[in-house]
Amino acid sequence: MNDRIVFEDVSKFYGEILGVNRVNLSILPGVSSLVGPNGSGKTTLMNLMTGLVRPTRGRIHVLGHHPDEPEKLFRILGYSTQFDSFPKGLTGFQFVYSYLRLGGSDSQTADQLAWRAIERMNLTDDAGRNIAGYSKGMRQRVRLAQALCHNPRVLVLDEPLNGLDPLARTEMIALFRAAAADGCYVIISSHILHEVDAISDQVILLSNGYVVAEGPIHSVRNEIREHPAQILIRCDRPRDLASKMMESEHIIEARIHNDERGLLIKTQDADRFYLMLNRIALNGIEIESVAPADDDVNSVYEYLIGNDEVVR
Amino acid sequence: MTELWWAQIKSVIRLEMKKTFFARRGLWIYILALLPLLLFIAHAAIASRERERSSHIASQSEKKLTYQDLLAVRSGMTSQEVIALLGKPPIRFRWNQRTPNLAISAATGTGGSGTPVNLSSAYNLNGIYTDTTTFTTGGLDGEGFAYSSNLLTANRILNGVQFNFGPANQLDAVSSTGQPIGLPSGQFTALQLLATAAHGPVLSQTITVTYTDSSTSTFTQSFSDWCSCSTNPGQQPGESLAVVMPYRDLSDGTQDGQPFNLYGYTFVLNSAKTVQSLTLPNNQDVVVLAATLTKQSLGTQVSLSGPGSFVNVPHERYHYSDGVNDLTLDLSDGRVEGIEIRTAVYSLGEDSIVFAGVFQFFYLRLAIFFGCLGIFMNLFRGEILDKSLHFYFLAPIRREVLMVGKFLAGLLATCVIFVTSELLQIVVFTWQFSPNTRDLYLYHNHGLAQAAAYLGITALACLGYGAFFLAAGMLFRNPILPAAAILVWEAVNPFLPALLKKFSVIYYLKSLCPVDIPSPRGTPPLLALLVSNPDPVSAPVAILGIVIVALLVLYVSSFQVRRMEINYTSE
Ligand SMILES: Nc1ncnc2c1ncn2[C@@H]1O[C@H](COP(=O)(O)OP(=O)(O)OP(=O)(O)O)[C@@H](O)[C@H]1O
Ligand SMILES: [Mg+2]
Repeated sequence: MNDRIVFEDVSKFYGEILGVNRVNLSILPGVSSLVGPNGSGKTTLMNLMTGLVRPTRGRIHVLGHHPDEPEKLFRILGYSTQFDSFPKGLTGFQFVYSYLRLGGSDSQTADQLAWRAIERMNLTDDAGRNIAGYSKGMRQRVRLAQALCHNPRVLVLDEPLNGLDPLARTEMIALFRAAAADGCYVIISSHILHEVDAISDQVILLSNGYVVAEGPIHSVRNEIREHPAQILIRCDRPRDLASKMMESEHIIEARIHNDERGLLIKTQDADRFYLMLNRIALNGIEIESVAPADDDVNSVYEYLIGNDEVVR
Repeated sequence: MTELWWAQIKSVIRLEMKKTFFARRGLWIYILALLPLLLFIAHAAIASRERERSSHIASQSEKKLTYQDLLAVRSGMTSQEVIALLGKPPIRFRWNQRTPNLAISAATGTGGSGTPVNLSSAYNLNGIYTDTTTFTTGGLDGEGFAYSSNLLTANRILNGVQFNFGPANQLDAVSSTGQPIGLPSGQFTALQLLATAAHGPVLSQTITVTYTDSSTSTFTQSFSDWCSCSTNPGQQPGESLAVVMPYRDLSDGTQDGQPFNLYGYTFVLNSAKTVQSLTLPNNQDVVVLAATLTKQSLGTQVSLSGPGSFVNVPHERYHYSDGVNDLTLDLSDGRVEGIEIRTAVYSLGEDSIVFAGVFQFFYLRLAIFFGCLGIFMNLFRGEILDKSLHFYFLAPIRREVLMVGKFLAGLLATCVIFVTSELLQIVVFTWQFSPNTRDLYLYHNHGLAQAAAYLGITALACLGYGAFFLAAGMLFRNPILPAAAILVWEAVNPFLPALLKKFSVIYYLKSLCPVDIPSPRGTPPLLALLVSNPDPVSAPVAILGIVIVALLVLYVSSFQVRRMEINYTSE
């Protein structure tokens, strides 16, 4: 009980609107991923876990702590939210520093911890600048710095890879793995299953407020692998990228977008595709964005979630 | 534990400070706080200028004057007497005023020529009264004013023409309603009227004389108002001053001490025809007192409105001062006519009431009220609008501690802003007095105690209102409604039953105010209740009351803050 994160029959309604319904979860140490399309309830689950919203029904315990007691909960938990807004007028350093001070740290400790977190997030050069002037990725990183600055055992990270460049992604993923290896609880959310399944010990698949699948990643991974995924890449030299891609046997098809700035890939093995993409990105092709081609209900969910047998 | 809380509260305050003090949307709070200060600065500036002027006048005086000296001047004194009393006036204005010449009036008595028309059948007004008679008829103008029969007498002779007036204290004047009046039969060269207008001049009226053969002569005439104070009295074409009287009678038996006139009008008739009737204009404000038909050959009527009918009366104005109080004298023709004494307006007693009024009605009920609204309501709400509240909710800090921290930050901000402004107001307010008065006020007239009380009340008001608005900002999404509700609640406080009364801020604050504002006589009872405090509580009770009310509100809010969720979407 005190060594896991427990949801007992938790439901959350925003007035009439369903957030999540009848969620029963038990999360163990390691990397756990909440995966689901937009509006499926990932953020709601995380907010419930951290007390930012309160369940309409059910009970939640985080390593024995109740989310209604932030003074205890946040000693062991760090949450990087999806909210892209910050208190006005703070620099990146002040943001992390004053968060630590709010927790009661003395100025010296707070200073030390804040700098350490900022260094880990590669923000040292920009720490003195006002957050209002940060890029999207920098804002994401300063939020992550805030979440892990006090070395919590539980990390709740809402779409942590969002907005990060490939290099930063790789670093972040390494960081999650390291934390998991240390016995931490790392809970991340994503709407791209492939993005997280390689690093997850457990995935929780959400759809329309329901948990539709939950378990160790390899039990679902194989099923997914059989089905080709479509991925849209925006980059500056799609033709070069396409020719590199086609060398690999798991790529079924590569189509150049009409505007010569994009590439649509159909692959048998999305895992390997993402690994390969990271390598290629280091070779000088500038990649603007990577996204599943079927935006809303991507092919994976059609296969996995659109199937009624799995839901019940 | 408390040590940790205290550290956390301090860090909340540190974070909030910048927001509460320097927020651009908080600019109006400073304006509200500084408005009374500007008022008192202006007040002090005016007061000091007045004082300078008074002492300047006093320094120019021949004699050193006392207040008693200033009071000694009586109406009717000659300028020599005034100068003997007060010395040569340090400031003196002279000018001439054109006034109707009292000396030019028509002669009294009988023996004039012409055929007076008997108007008695047409009398419908009591236009003439003997002096000191009280009357309820409305007099000549329906408002209780009439000619004095002592001045007018029963008959007048104008250019040799006889005019007879009606009997005093009875119906004796004709208000024109377009009625025909019979004329004595005969052939005449002219019809002459003594008449006037009331309620201001009446222009372009038609008068008709009908002859026996049914033909008519029609005249157009304008009539001046009877008061010499009206514009150009007696100067309408064809109009002359007939009788100028130094006063008129009032219905309460007194007299109205400025000149009133009766005017003469001449209408040339067709002397070949026999007159039958006279039709007056249809305008009640034209009042006829006498009419006479004459056979004088044309050209012998002389208008009285020559150069001699007006005279230039010398007027003078003297200013004296004893250094504090000012005396202004108006002299007409060398005699004192008007006396105006202005005691030092900016006197302590009155001023502290003005100060109390500004404090109670503007500062307490509006400035601090809305200032607290702006700052305390935004403690949580502002951050919901900015979508940054989750920053606090993610920290390992009790929500109650966070709330207290925010409350103290708001309290600090409002106290600094409003107490500072109040302090400056008090400084400016006391500064305007002369050093002696200031010392007297501060050290002997409870001035220091009052100042301390005002500062204390300001701080307590911030505490009380702050608690209410903090709660309102957490409980409601739209701040307008709760703010209006609190405003109404505080305003109707005097009318509430005793128990409910105690659950408000203004109830205690009013009890603490050191200077009572006397409600002037005739204030509607509802308003008077707002001003007065029928059942004040003692100071310790009032202070304790506010603190308890504030703590109670905060206690209730602490439950709310525990249950608060982050929900930025439905704004
Ligand atoms: N504050 C709110 N008020 C009303 N409805 C809400 C609120 N927050 C979330 N919802 C609803 O709850 C459901 C789940 O939303 P949630 O934000 O948890 O989805 P998500 O999986 O995080 O989506 P995304 O991938 O876009 O971040 C959605 O239908 C959403 O409309
Ligand atoms: Mg989300």
